[in-house]
Amino acid sequence: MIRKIWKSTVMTAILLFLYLPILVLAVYSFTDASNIGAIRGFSLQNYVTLFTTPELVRMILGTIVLALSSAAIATVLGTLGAIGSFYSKKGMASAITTMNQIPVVNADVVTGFSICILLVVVLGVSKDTFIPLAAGHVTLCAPFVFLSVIPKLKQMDSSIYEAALDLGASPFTALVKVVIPQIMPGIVSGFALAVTLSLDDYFVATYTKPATFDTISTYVVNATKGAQTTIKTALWALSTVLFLAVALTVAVMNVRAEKRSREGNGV
Amino acid sequence: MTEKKRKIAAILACCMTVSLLPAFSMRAEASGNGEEDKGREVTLRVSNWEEYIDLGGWDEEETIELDSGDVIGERSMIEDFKEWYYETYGIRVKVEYSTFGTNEDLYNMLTLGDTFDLVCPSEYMIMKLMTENRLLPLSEEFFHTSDKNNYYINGVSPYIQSVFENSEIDGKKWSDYAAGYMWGITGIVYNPEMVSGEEASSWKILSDPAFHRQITIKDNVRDSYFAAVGAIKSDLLTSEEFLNSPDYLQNLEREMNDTAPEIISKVQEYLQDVKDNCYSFESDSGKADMITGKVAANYQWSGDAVYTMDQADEDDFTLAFAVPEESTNIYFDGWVMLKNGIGEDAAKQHAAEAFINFNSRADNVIRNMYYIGYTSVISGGDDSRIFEYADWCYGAEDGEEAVMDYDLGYFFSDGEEDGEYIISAPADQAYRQLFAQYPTEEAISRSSIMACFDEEQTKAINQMWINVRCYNIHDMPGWVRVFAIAAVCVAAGIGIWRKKHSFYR
Repeated sequence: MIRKIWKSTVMTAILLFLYLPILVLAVYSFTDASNIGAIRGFSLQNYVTLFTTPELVRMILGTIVLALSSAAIATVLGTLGAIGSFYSKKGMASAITTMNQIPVVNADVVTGFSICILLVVVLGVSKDTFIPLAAGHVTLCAPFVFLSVIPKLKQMDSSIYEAALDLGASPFTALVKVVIPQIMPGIVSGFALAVTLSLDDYFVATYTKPATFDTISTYVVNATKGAQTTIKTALWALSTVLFLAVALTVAVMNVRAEKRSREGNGV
Repeated sequence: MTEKKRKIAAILACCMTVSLLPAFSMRAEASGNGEEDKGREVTLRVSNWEEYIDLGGWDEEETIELDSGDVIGERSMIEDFKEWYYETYGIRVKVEYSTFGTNEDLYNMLTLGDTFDLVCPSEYMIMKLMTENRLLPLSEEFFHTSDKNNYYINGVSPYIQSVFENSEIDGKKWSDYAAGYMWGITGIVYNPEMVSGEEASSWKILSDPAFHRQITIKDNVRDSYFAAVGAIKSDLLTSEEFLNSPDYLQNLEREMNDTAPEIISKVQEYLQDVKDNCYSFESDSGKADMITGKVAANYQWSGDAVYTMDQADEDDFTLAFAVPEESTNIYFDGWVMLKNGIGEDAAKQHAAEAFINFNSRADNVIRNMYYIGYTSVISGGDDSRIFEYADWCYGAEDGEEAVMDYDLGYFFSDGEEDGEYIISAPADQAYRQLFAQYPTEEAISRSSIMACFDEEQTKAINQMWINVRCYNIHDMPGWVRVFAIAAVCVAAGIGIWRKKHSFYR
């Protein structure tokens, strides 16, 4: 009994620690307060500012486009890398896997800074071309796609691929028709992971982004440093929207997964 | 077969296009508005502090009604500048505007591949850039008072201009390289119910045990160093002899920028006391903590002090501002042109200087001041609107009782006509918003610039700051260290023993 109470108290405390700060922001985003302090009244002003200020809208759309496009490239590269390493000889495969670990374990600051030094300072690529930024985000995301695809390849029944070859399919057709459909769940989850990583990134973006472009994270850091007024409170609204979007996605995914497992049990 | 290949090719092409989309959309946007007059378009890359220029979008009722006409910011200053530049000089200009968070961020951006034409750092970063020979001097035409479009030189406060002309580094005058934008001083915002004005008028309040855990101080090495030097040298700085010395200003500047090793170690000691005494070292929370009444006093820049007091007033909570008796740090943010951005491009330089001038036009100065809350270096020259704005903000209503005369002659006048720039303001403004926005001549007379330290000094001061802010390992008693090492050894031993054990099992 005591153990049960103890358990639920700890759980509540942990959840409070995790969610209270976000809840505070969410509540304040619906007020006209300009500081976390006295609340004067209810207002949707922050949301109006968030979606009507061109600077903010451009920044949010830019971040989303960047995340989707760099995740797309990373997914292609990561998947190809995983398939390549899966069908390589053992020594080669372990070499690729080890190299893949380095960007994963490496601190983002180091990745961002070294890409900046290599591309911008040494090779003289202008940051305005978005190439350093895209390269940085792909470097950040691709290894994770690789990691989420590899297990699916290992689970795959390799005899189907061989059967396809025996039946006259070219290796390429077999790859597209047989291998990729089987590892699709891994590719999709890798893509989702890549999008999240790109949205989340601050360090790579600060070193490689063009000066006139901001992602949500770099923008928020600047805004909290200098700002005093409307934009800062509009960012509370942005946090709330982001939080709700993520919560909704997770909820939908969980419901669907549960449904699927129930259907699976039914059969 | 081939069809399938084509399909795959199409998918790959899609992926590539999607990946290039941001690049395309940005390019398209960048080159969108100047197609028809390509040969005469100038691109100006400006970097400024976050929210440090009027972005427009004011409500109708926000209109500032002055005797010389109304002022309202309908569109952003940058849009207005583009239009004005085309109307005045017949050249289209495209402004690529971006923002930075701290002077150091800007410096890193400049070092790591970003190029800008016009930036707005604080005075010490301007000095650093000057010593590194990265700045382009302002052109001679910029200082021609006969050109009425030279709003800067015709409007800058004589007082500020004299500071810029009398300050130099490596034999180069500030005024040749930098045009001021906003300025202010440092001081203490305090809650008059808990702290007396007298107590707040000394840097020593920071370590005063009477306000244990009730004061916040700035979490950056330069501001903290200045305050600490002011506190340790308090007796000297307030002594009659020092104050009446004919070289008072030079002496003051030398004392406040003292980086002798014994001073640095004293500052470290003092700041460690402050750390034990204060509520926190803050970089942004100080304003909110003051407004909500969480702390009794807060080391603050004057511009933010105005904002803090304004916000508190909305809750009918009265705060005040004091400038320490010892000395106050006067600071500037100013526009400077960068060599690696502008280079030899005369058209670009012209646009950059015009941008400074446009932001120095009286109505635009008022818009920026209203939006940002800081004080502009521009007094308006012949244009009286900026003084009218100060009066509009802080002047007493008719029939108000306790009224005092507040003389701003030192800032607005060039010394000829006296008594013309006096605001009759409510008496409490002498230590509230008006005082923070435009400090009295008396407070300004005690102000000192904080120099740009050289590499060796910076290193010593940063080390001092690390010792203050991080846990100081040398302070740990010997037995703690021995105990810690022993604990690590024991833990490692147990780990090895268990691993071996599990092998045999």
